Amino acid sequence: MMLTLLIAGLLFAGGAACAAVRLVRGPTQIDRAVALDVMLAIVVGVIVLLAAVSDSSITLVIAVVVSLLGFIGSAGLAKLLPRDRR
Amino acid sequence: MSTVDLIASVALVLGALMSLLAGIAVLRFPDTMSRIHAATKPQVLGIMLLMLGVGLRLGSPAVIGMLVLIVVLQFVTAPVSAHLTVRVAYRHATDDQDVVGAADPAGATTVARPPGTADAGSAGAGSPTAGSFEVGSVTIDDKPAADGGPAQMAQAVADENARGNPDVDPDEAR
Repeated sequence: MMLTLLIAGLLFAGGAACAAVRLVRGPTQIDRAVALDVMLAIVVGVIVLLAAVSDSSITLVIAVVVSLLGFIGSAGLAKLLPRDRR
Repeated sequence: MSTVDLIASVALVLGALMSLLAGIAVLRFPDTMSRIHAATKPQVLGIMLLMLGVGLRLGSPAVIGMLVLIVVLQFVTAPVSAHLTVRVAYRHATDDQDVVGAADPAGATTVARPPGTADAGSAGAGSPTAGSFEVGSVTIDDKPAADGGPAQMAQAVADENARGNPDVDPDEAR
């Protein structure tokens, strides 16, 4: 299970790093919002991975809350993004 | 390591791989629509694989109920949030083809914006709203034979679209 933690953690880290580069570089604010969405999905994945590796189900509640926060965040951004801000 | 643990590990690694693929796609894809398309993948399939892995590891019914709750929430919310984001991206599309790319060669500006305001990008929310309302009322007044049949109605709607109807949407008034 430690090997699983290592491999999956490296994959998550690579995905988060790519999304962070897009977050910094993104030409529009919408690109940054999409990158943040991906990073939030990765956060949920890491929480769930840690729950699986450590055999404890306590942190799964945090995963529920974070996955809901992702929806609220991206819906709010879609509503509140200013027009034509590059 | 038992067989169940092995399957759980494979599912967890595959779910993490989906996240890596989404990260690479968000970084490498050329325009915003493609990035949004790729970003929705780990939110549904990746989360599903991860939940399968966790459910195989910790098999108690309470845990499985919570995992099913997370998966259902993701299934409901991921398309909705992606749709909202795409709608905003399409409306923000300027004429540099940076957002829709080659998928919409006609350009989003001819569809999503009235011709008068195509170059007035920073006009604010007030004037497009007033323009759309005016165009709508003129259009309705313009077609006295609109109740002649569904074909004429369709023709009138097509004319309205061809004139560049500025997306008569109450959301524009916000």
